[in-house]
Amino acid sequence: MKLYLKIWRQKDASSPGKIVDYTLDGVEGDMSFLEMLDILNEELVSKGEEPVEFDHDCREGICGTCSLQINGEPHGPDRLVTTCQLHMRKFNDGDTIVIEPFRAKAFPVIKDLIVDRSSFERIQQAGGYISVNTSGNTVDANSIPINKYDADEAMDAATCIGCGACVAACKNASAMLFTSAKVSQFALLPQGRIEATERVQNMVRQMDLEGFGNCTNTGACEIECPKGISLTNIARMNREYLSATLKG
Amino acid sequence: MGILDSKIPSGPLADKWTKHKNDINLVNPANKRNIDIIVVGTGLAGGAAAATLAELGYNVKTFCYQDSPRRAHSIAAQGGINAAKNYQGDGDSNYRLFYDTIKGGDYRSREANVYRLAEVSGNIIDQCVAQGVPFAREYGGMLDNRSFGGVLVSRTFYAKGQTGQQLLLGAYSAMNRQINRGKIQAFNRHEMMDLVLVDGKARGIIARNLVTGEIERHSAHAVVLATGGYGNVFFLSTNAMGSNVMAAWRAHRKGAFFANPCFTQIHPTCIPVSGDHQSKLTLMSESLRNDGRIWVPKKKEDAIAIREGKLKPTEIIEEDRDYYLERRYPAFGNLVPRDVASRAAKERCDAGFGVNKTGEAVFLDFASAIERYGKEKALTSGLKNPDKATITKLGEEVVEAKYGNLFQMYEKIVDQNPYKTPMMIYPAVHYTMGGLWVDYNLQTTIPGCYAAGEANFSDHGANRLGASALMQGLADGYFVLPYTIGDYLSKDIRTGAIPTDSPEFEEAEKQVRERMEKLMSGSGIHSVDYYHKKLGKIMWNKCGMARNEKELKEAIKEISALRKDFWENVKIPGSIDSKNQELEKAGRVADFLELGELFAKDALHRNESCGGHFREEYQTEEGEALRDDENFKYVAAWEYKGEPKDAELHKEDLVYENIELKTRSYK
Amino acid sequence: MNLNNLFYDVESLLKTHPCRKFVEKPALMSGMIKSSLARKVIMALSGLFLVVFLTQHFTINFASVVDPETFNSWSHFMGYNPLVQFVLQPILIAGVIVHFVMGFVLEIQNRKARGTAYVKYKGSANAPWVSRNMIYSGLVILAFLALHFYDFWVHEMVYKYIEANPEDPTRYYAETVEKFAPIWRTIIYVVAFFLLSLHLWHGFASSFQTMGVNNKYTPAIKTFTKIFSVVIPLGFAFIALYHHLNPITH
Repeated sequence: MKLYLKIWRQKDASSPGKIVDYTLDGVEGDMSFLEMLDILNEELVSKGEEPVEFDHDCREGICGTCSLQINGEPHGPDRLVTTCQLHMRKFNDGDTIVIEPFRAKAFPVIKDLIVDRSSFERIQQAGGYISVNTSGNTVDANSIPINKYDADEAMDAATCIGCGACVAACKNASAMLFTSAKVSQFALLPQGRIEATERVQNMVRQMDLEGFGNCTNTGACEIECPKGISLTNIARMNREYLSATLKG
Repeated sequence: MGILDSKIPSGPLADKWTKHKNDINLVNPANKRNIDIIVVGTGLAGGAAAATLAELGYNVKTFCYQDSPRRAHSIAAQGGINAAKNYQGDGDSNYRLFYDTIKGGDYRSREANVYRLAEVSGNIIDQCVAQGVPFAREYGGMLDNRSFGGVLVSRTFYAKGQTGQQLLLGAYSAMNRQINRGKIQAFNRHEMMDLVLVDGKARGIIARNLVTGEIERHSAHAVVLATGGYGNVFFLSTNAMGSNVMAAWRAHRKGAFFANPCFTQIHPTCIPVSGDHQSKLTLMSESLRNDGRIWVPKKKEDAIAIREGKLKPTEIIEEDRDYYLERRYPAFGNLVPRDVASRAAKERCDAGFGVNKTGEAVFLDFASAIERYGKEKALTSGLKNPDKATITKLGEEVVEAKYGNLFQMYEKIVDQNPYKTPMMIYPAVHYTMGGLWVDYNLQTTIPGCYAAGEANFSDHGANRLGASALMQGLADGYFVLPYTIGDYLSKDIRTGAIPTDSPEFEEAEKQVRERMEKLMSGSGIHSVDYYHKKLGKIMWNKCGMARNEKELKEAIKEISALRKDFWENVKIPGSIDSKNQELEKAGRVADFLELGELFAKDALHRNESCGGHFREEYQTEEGEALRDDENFKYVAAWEYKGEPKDAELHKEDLVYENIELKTRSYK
Repeated sequence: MNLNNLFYDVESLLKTHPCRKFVEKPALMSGMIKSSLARKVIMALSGLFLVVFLTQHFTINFASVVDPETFNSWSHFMGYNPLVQFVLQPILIAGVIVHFVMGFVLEIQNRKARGTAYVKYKGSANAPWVSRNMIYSGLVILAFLALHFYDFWVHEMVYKYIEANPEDPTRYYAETVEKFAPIWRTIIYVVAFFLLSLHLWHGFASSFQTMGVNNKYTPAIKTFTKIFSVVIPLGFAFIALYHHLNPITH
């Protein structure tokens, strides 16, 4: 199929960017979206032009590196997939596809479609851990029995890949789904309860400092999340935060 | 033994590690504050090592090419992690895990290392649970286990189909805690370009800031390489696009021996290649073989009809299906080790029974598992005389709970519903058992340069068992390297900070710059990927699942010629001093083009078949691998001597004191 | 309850940014609440308070359709009871102001958080219109409130305190019906009630999520929200239309 691509090009963080039009022929349905961009880049390189830079790594939907706002949606029109898992069979011959970087003040553009998501790193560093040394001198794993329901729910929260689609989709560029996923995972486990109060306060504080917007419960993040992280995590974080505040 | 000293402690096998820990020198806490360690790579091994070293008090700098340590490719490991916990009470023990690993590795790994791995395996699970890793649990609240290939016990812990992700996020959270304390400085989007040696010791690295293009010098008292494997030498593999051998290869060029490069694992259950545009292969976890049955049609005409789309797999009756693994290996059935399963698939497809368009695929069928689980579920739910549709529905629910994310992944890629029609799978390059040669302390042949995880060669011999890579990465990172490195660093407590303005750093930086300038000066028209794909084709066709002398010799020549062409002609747009993904790729492919040649040379010299290394000349009448313990019971460690084909072989003889060498049989 | 956790000083935080833990407890900052979650809770609480008020308001108004006598007596009670006048009324006004001011503050921050705008942004793909446009439904309601205050509250104030008219427990019904005589006012009211409905449709259930309630009762809360956000504004509109269509003929 033949596609008309409108791609955001930006030399570096300090340069202005713009949409550049490309036409690409010979795209097949079995290709992933990134393989389609590979072909475009191959053409650009052979013409001596600079290829379109985009973040990607594992190409199997787990590393969370790939981003891309495709036709106004993070990771494109398909659900529960990352851009690398999006296949061209979701598009039709003659389609125009607008490709932009994830937009948020806290995700500044590095080049073309690549953004800097280190704000997520700092949120995790503010408290996304259990303070236990890695000496191995811990209790036997089975001496901490955990209700299967809680363990499964913690696992569901923990599957967040940190891609930033929630921020990109949210009309407020809020990072609540991302932050709450980590808070939830630990809040649900007995090991994580010990530091729960400080954790939620520190992580929320860092989230605010990074300049993300406020959650207005539109639910866009949940719909666009490639891992289906649920809004219940945000509610749980709200609850954790409230109780942490009330406890003082 | 030549110049290779594996430094295996004396004494009985089970006491070696404890004794060694008691014997080695320690660095006191006050002195640790004055010692810097660089960790390159932040996957399970690197992330775990960085966190633990920082906890101990060392100043750690981590480097990764990704934008976050959390994105290292350990994250993609699906199935699970082994540990000899014996929670199932099925007779598991450290010895049994040790034995299975040595046997699974076809007797080409070091006894002492493997035993240590088994010994600390239980601790890993304790550690991870304490960190909040949400492993799967039973209704009673206890940890659940599943089985993996090549073993007869259930010792694999898992977190859905995302075990690697959860373990990596555990290590990452431990790192974050130390970053928050200021004990780890994380350099993300940085690539190690070279290792710097001062007075013969590893004292730092030259790194490139991948955002700005800046070349940076970083010094330390020791350098840990935990940069993963080199499967991407095949272009198509289950590795991440960025996975590369650069760090290890740079170290190799500076004097670190490269061991057993030809030991590569071809994973049997991957989604088959669909076309030329394909950039990467996706693994379907080995755990699927717990419940999936592998088959091809018994009749060639059926296979042809399926390939042409005239026949559906579900239309082939039971009698006309060849469950070839169950047929050939009744004891282990579908759960034979990976190398065996891969070769068997190749054998069937080569014989003309392949089932997809390219003829390179076999079926992985869940119909009987769905039926079995459905009946079980109906019984436990108190349903009497359930109809077939109900059983199928219930069964599909059980299968979804177990493997839902994998099935979804498959459906997204292939556009077929694996609940209704069998999956198609084919082997693909997955893991590299070979790597930098290390001694018992995980030190390479360069003093002060350590290698951990997949980057070293140590524990898996010629074939790795499923769910053992995660175990090894975390064992190295959490429990082995942080202690053994202290023995070396104890001599450095008076050294003080290593300056970065020494001639050695100067020279190393100059060479890095020159190399990049040379890459940028190519005068041809082809992109980096063009060369990478060509290399991959040579590797897959001539150094893949089956190898022979003639083709290996051809491969050496072809790779050498391709490398020459690459250096003269590769076309890289953009500049050195800015973000440039093509340049990043070029640097990596340049090293693959050298490694590939050494790989072929190693495969050529090893005149036997063992584990993942299958030489067509050396097989039994039944087509099983024919090992030659008389002549090849050693680790082949190659010393860099200029061109890869001139590399010098050093042998580390493998001594088996606790295990009797047998022909590996899974029948 | 330690309110210090709700208030913190961005300037001093930035110094310790990006990854330092805080040591000192930040100072209470001029009453501005700096935590996004705290702001949201205030939004939710004031919103829920207004929902309660709305219910009460509706109940009294509906009496005007059912029985003018009852309406008059309830209205008189509300107009002259000191507790209502001097405690509840100021709280209500404060609630309205807090809800609006906080709404604006959040909106401004949220707009800033995007930075560069998307060339193409398909909000409809993942979130309902009402949830994305609370600011607009809110603004319309605010404009309506101005008219509504002018119509009734200002009138009351003038009647009671400026002109200092004597108490008349029977005047309310007639005054109310008279207000709806002009068709333009009736139309404005009905349109405002429609937007109120949209606002409630998202806002009511959403406030529970903000307060941390998302559990097995959530589907029930959502259903109740839908019923409430249709029935109450529809009822208000009915009252307005009823009085417009049934003027008092002298």
